[in-house]
Amino acid sequence: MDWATATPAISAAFLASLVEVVEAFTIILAVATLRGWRPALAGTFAALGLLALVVIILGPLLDRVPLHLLQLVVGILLLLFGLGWLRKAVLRAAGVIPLHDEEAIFRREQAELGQQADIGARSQDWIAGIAAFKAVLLEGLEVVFIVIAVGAGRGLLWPAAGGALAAVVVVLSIGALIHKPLAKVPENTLKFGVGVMLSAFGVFWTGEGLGISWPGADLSLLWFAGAFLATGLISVGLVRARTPEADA
Amino acid sequence: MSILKQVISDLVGMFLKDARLTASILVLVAGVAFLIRNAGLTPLTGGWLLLGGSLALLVISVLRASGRD
Repeated sequence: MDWATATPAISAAFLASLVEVVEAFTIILAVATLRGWRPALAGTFAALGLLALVVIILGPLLDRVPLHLLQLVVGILLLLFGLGWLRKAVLRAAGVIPLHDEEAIFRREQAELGQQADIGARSQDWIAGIAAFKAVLLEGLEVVFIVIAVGAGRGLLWPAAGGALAAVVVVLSIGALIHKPLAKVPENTLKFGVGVMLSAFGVFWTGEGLGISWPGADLSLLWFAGAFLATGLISVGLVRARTPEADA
Repeated sequence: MSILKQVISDLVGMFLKDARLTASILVLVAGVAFLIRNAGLTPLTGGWLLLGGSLALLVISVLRASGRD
């Protein structure tokens, strides 16, 4: 494995998964503190099983897609996904939309689950389990896409999956220790960084899919990331200048 | 059924957070592909156009959203 090629893919998968796992963990913890760990873990493992099935079914299909077509499709999807993340992170950094608040999401999820108090305990466990299932499935699908997107074009699926797994281990270890939503994770900074990396990968793969040989090959990813980072930061400044009340 | 609906809507939402940004990116990629294949643009120039266009779309989309909100 060439580390110059693998490092951007592994770090993008790790950082993106960190954000997604933190969000899923908040819901799992809300379910566990309200209804116990049994429904929380049942929902979590059911979703992980379904995600594993998706990977097992999709994985071999990827090998059948011609490389240029795969790079083009993945590149366009990464551009759509990455620029979407970066746009939102810029708007959050500039104060136009509120920051993601894990504590608030935790309280809201608990309040929603608490509203079901008039039904039986078994039904409440089911609803709680389904809440955990949905959270893990929805965030997990994003992780699966990111791992495939950053890894498939260069045969780096396993290293990228390793990056994602490392994020799961980090979040669950910290979560198990502090037993609270990971509200202190600088989520928007991470999302900003991930948006930058995914957008850079998007331009890179779309270009490769169109038959473009980038100067410096994989190293051009760094230049692209630098360009997206600089443009993102300039955009934050432009928006703040336009809407001074956003700083207040 | 509601879980399936939510999964599908979440999957679509992953790529279509902002309809105008999505449409603009698709038009940009299609335009660059057309110019490379049919108008004699060198692939590398097409690549820089793709990068510059993506950066411009980001700024435009952010400024539009900040003006709207």
